[in-house]
Amino acid sequence: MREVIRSNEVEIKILPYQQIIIRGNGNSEFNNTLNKLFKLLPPTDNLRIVLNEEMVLSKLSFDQWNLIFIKDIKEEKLQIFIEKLNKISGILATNFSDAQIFFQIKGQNTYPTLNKLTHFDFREKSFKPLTAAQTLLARIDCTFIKFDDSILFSCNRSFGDYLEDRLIDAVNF
Amino acid sequence: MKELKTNSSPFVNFNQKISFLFDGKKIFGFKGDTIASALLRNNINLVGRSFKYHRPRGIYTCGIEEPNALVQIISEYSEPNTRATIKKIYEGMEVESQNRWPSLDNDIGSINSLFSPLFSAGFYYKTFMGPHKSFWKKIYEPIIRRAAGLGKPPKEFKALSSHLHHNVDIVIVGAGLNGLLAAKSLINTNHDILLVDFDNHLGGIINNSAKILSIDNQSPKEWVKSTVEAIEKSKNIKILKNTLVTTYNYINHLIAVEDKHVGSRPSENKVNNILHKMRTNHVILCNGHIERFLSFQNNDLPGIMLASSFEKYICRYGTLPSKEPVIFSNNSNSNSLIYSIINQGYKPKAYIDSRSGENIEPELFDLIRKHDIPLYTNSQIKGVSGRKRIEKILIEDSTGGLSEIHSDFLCVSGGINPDVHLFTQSKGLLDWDEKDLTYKPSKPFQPTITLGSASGQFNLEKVSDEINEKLKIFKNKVLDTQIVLNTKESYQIEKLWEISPHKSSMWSKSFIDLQNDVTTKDIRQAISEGFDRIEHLKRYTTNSMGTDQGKISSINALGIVSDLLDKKVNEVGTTIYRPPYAPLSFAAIAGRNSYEFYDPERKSPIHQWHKDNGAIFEDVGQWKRPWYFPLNSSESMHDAVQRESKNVREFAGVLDGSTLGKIEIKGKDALSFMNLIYTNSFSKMKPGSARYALMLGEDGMVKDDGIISKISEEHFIATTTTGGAATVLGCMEEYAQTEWPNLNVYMNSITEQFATFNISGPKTREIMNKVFPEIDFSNDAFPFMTFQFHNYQGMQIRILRASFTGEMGYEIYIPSKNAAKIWDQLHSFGKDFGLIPYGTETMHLLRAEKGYIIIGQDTDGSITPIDLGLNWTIGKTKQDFLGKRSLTRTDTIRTDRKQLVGITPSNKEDHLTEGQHIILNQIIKTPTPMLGHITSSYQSPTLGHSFGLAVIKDGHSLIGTKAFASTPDQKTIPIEIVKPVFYDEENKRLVS
Repeated sequence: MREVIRSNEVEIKILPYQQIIIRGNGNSEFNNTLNKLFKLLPPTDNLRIVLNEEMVLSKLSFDQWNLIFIKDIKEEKLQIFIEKLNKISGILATNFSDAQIFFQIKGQNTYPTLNKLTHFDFREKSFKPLTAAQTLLARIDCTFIKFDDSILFSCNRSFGDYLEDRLIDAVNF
Repeated sequence: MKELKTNSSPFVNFNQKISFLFDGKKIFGFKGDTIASALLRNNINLVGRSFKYHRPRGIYTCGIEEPNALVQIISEYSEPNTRATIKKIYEGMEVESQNRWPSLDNDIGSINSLFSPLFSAGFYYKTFMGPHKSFWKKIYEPIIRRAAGLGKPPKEFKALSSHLHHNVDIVIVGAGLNGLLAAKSLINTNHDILLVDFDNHLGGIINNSAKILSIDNQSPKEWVKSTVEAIEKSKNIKILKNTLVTTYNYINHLIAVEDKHVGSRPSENKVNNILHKMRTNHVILCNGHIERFLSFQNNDLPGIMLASSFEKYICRYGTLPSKEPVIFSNNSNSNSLIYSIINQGYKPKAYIDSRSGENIEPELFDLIRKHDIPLYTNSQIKGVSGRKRIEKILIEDSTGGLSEIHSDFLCVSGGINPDVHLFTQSKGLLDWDEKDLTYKPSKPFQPTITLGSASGQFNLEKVSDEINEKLKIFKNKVLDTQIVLNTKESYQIEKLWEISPHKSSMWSKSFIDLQNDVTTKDIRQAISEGFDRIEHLKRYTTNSMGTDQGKISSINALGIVSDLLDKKVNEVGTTIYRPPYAPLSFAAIAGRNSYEFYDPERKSPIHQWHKDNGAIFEDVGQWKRPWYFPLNSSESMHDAVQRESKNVREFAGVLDGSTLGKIEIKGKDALSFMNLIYTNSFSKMKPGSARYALMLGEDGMVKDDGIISKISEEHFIATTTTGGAATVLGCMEEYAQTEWPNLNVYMNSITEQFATFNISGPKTREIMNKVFPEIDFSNDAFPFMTFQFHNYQGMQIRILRASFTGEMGYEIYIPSKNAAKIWDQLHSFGKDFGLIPYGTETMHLLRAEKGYIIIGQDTDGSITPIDLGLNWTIGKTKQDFLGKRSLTRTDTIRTDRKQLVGITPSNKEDHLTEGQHIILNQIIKTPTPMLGHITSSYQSPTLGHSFGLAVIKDGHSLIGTKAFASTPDQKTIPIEIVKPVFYDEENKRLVS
């Protein structure tokens, strides 16, 4: 974890979360496999999430789920998960831990800060807690997950420095 | 300093005197003054020169509709065309008048008035017609270009502007009487609301005139204060002050610009402008009305002002532009002006009304008689005269008799229009109101509600009824607001667009558009020349095409045209108001997406290493890629690339290829899918092997290339070009989902999960043996175009034996977060073997020597695999693949298609350049048939001369022949057309 900025009633951190992208058709074999491995039943509605103390599982399209480990997990164990998933021919599981960077933002000025960089409607009535969204932040593709007191968002790691600078700029200006 | 005209106004701080420069002269005003109010306070009326004729111009209005008083703010990076009527002064501000030389008082350009017949309607278009075509280039264009524009371009500066997006349920535009009442009725409802106003003091007409005596038994100012406090305390309404809504886009998307440095110098470390982008469900337009002027002889002279603006200067800014103005009106809206002037202890010098006595309100008669004001009913102003400001006014009374009044100020009112700009921007339709002589909002196209004078409802006593009726869909609080007026008036107007002059003269003019210097004579001329459709007439005369969009005059133009054509105004139609409502700066539009944030940047996992080691970067898409690594600051790019290339050929080099696209493909039908997506056949490939492959578009043209690694029959990894990664993945998804949904296959991008290092050169194997001692890199154990997975220090890596340089080499795929570790290891062990990092330019040179193509450089979307000589990539026995059918079209099987060849200069001292045309003739006589062009060219340290790749017609047949490369200075370089492989044609080094 690294603090990016804490100012103007906003706190932004970079979190070292690991992630697996899972593609599949969401049939019973798919659901049972995931449930057995992670003790989580995959959400069936798009942009919905389920979570436990160790991981968040979100459905990001009709055939894609993202599994984020919010507690550190050993690389070997992650690889075992991926191998087990990939044994099913109807599933493609890919380690995505190094591909993306995770930011967490919280504080009273969370929405105005983010809305300097995106048009997205963060209001409760539009973006409910425990749901996900995909939109542009500072013209970069990001995935957002809303929790009760914070927002977790990720983008491709190559954009990480640029987005970090934009976030600091948005807090300061 | 002259005695300042001051009065009481709660909006100006008369205890805080402020000095600023106007044309180098020190002027004093007060905190809260605009440039215009401060100048008027100092009896300065001449503030600029007009666009075409350089006529003296003054302050015509008190708001954003101002056509005349445009100034350059020298102290704000020389910002031009700023409206003096809205720009607040601050200490040390420097202001200059525009479009004059050498000075405002003595402007040489004013002789243009004498040549006015030359500048009549459409003069610009007529310059295209002769007398000779060279006139345009040599005479007209230089003169017109020099004369064009009002202000001078601003200096370059780094603006601090930002953007802010809003998502709300309702946006209320305008916080005047109606806007405040609408907001008040919606306090603490479930709607998220933005209340936006251009002013820093809310209240609109309440602050700007003496029309209203009381609201709900409170003084108007007390009512505004308590109402604004209540709105500010509400949980659901946010107020944006100093914010002008400029744009009303489709789907209720509004754009507004907030001035954050009102009344102060722009800050160098704080945001000066915020561009608000609002998305909402409903828009309530309460943006009021605009007063229009009247056309009569010399109606542009300084000292002429709109009547309501004169009143606004009194009420809002506490300054009286003149103690004895003459008032000329054709409507009841200027009644309150008389009341306001009398309130100040003065009275108008005369009141002239085109209406007959019986149509004038009795209360106005009483007021005029009571104060013994000279009254002219059924009368009109024939014209005014004066040198640099109005001096005399010529009046025609009801009997046709003429009389002259000496006066330095004339207040004019030609009626009022709802401010329909935003409504029409939203595609709402207007209807002509024959009684009020104005266009009014009729049918909204979006969920738009108009209130008050913005909707054409000019009766202030009925605002509550309208709000209750129109806002009930929001379940708002029902209002019962009691408004008592100072002047009993129900809006009345008599048709009057233009008054013909008593006598004409060369200098005297009757203007219809003050900003663009369009006269009523221009309108007549345009119609007589056949431009009688309003949209044509607008463009031919430039009427209402200035930055003010003819806010105070466009309806008058329609009225004049309708009279001339003997049509009703609604038959003439109306022009379309386009965004922005008023000019806004590029800085505000750009926001923070400029300079260092201009374009998102992508960095490889070892970007910092490159930076630390002096890499010069090039932009490839959004990626920052090391272009070359100079040894020191004196080594040129050419020298660095020559050195790097030689080093790779002799020893070894390593390239950061992390930006290459990488896609993982898996599913029980993955093999079928890959066979369909790529030209190659992967059926007989053994797991663990790799193959160079081409992807075509449906048109058969090469779209991308890469190396396909087969992990199993159901599992592949494909690489793509750096720029094509997203396109290829998108293409795969599209075909999997739409064309071949029967195939069970999924794909994920792993571009960023893995860094890629391309190491190559004769010493590569030795270096790899050192870095990965547990792996057998011998030819037998690790042949060319095979790959292996390995566990390296707890992480899974993949090594592919492939090369893009022509030397034996490997591609190493490592999880990104561990990339730096392996990169360091490579250099640590490679140092003894002469390993160096090399950049993309060296990579390009080396691959071109080998004849390897770059998609997008050697191809351009019109090249087939056959054109490239890559027939071997096409799976001949495959039933189908993307683009297959197109490869047998008559066009794609032509023999004279442009085909890839190599080019060498006959004289080895000559240098070839990319883009040079290949021709057959040594002497260029235009038109010269072109065979093709050079797509890649480099100076090869290995070959010892320049060489290139080119696509030329029937190129494969021309191999072995001589031709010429043309240069931009019409010279030719003798060349030989050769095979596109210059180095190790037998691939001995590659597989060594």
